[in-house]
Formats: sequence, C-alpha cells, structure tokens
Amino acid sequence: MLMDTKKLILLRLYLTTFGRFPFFSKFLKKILIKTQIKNKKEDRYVASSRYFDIHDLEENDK
Amino acid sequence: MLKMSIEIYKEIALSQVPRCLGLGDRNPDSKTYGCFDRYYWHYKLIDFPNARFQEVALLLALLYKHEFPENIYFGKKKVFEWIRAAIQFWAKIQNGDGSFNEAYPFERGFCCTAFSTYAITETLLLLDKKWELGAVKKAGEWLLKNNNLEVSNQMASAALALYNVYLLTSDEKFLKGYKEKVSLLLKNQSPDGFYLEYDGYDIGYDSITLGILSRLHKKTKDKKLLDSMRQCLKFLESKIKDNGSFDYSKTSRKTQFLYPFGFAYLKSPILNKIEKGLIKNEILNPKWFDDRYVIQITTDYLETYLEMKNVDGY
Repeated sequence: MLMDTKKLILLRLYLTTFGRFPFFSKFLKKILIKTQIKNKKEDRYVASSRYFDIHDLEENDK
Repeated sequence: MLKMSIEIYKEIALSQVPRCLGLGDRNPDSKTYGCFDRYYWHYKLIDFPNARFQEVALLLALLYKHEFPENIYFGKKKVFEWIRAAIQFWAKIQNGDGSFNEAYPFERGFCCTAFSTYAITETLLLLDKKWELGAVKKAGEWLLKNNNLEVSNQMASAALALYNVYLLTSDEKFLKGYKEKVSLLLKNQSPDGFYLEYDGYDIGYDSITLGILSRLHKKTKDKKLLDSMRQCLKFLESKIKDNGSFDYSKTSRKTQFLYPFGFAYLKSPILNKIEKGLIKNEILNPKWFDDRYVIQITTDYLETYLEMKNVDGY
C-alpha cells in the first residue's frame, strides 16, 4: 500500500488532533505493527531493509 | 591476522563523516541549529524532525575525544560546538511525556527514544558533561514505563540508555529499570541462542543487540550478559559465510547488515569474515546505506576500530 496525498492528509489530521493523546498514538502504532509487520508473511515492513545486495545482479541475469 | 585489516573500519567510518556533518544545520543563527535531519531543516520535505539523526552527537564525540591517525576532527572546537547543538536540539524536540518521534509526529517511538537516549547519554559521559539533564531524566522515566518485548534490539538499547541515565543522575530507579529491561530481554532469548525479533531470529538485528550488550558488559562486567552473548554468538557463527554475507531470505526482518562492534568485543572470527567482504566491497556497509541509518552504522564501525586498536581512553 503506497502513501498518497489523501492518506497523508488524513494521517496528519489524526496525528495532530487525536495523536496528541498517548492512547490514540499507541492505538495507531498497534494497527500499523499488526497490518504492516505481524499479519504479513511476505513483504513485511522493515525500515532498514531492502538495500542493494551484490547477488541482486546475478538474479537479474537468470 | 585479525588486526591486519582492522584499518578498513576506520577508513569506511571516516569516509562517511563529512556526509553525516552535511546532514546537520551548522549555522548558529538558525532556528534549527543542531538539527541533523536535512530532510526537515533544509529540504523542508517533512513536517517534523526525526530524532534519530541527533545520534550523530555520539559519532562526533568519539572523533572529538579520541586521537588516531587521519582523524582531523580530534579536539576541534567546532566539532565540540556541533555536538552541544545536536544535544540541545534533541532536547528541544522531545515530546511532553519524555519520548521522541522517528516516523511521524507524536509517534512516541520506543525505538527512537531508546536509541537516541543511549547515544546522547553516552556522549555526555564521554565528554563528562551534564547538558540537558532534565530531558535525559524525562526520557529515562518514559523508558522505565514502556517496553517493546517482541523487539530485542530495542529492549537492549533501552537497558543501556537507562544504565547511562543512572550513571549521569545516580538515581537508583534507573539502575533498577536497567536490571528489569535486561531480565526481560534475557527471558526472550531462544534456547538456540538468538534474541527474538518478532517471531524469530534476524541476523542483522542480533548483531545490533550483541553490540549493545557488549557495551553494557564493558560497563557492568555482568557475567549473565557475557554468557548470554556467547550463546548468541555461537548461533550467529553458524550462519555467517566466509565473506560476512548470510542468507536473510528466511529471517524475521530480512535485514542484510552486520554491525561489527559486538564481534570485535567478543573477539569473534566473524569480524575477520566481515573484513574480507568489506575489502572486496561485497557486503552491505555504511557507504551503501541511505541517510536515515548511516549515522548509527558509521558509529559502530568507528567503535569497532577503537576497540580493536585499543585507542587510548576508549
């Protein structure tokens, strides 16, 4: 799921209103972890992943 | 053999320092002086600064404090000022409850609060300063009340941050909090030796955890930590290939990096393997990283060099 302008505006709206209160901020975090990490078997979101790997070149040749 | 090519860690770390400095606002007259999130203060592409960029303070402090060949930053007044500015900006962007943001406004991120508090407190200890102690205490108090049990590297970092807050404040509650975090972390160690990252092992994050626990062991000499680290090391040694690469296709978080400091501290042959991969430029290293994570891994490379070279005062 990619970010788009509408989603970004809605997210910021939520964050700058409800998100100021810890309960709502934790709630959002839980949802994000569940949908982007835990419930995904493939393509899990990990910020520090998907860097270039020297083996990517070999795979492209196949 | 192990020490022959250790220079490569220094060379790679030093090659990234100008890049890291370029991320920062170094104009003392600017409102964002000391902010190292270039996407915020310079490009203005985002609406909040990511506090993890402030971890640059530790990288700069290591350079400012330790004299070694080719370190042009040693003892430079400007570097000292940038460190102070980075710490002041860190305190300025703290949330009211003591936490910090990394991914979005009002995030109150455990990861960001743990790692940035560790980096800032380590810097203060290194320079023997007590700047922004109010913010440090608030961050420590927030860490006392929060956990992220499924992510071991973050728990380890919180433990180290709390230990440092204790050293800076002498407040026993932070020492107690450190012990609790370590105990929770060790409970989450698998019988196979790895530290849990969500539902399994992740070699890259385990290397971070190992590095953090090594720094903790260096300070506390806690034997429990050492035994635990050795178990993890045994697990990792079975997974890492001769050039420092490894199969990350089945790991829980698919990270491709290795942070070398823990391997240096424990005198593991893995360090030698990483060096081989680095010399051939075959494995992920700070030069291949994006801006968001380059500061942390560059710092780890520099500390690996300082540890192995036994540089004075480190």
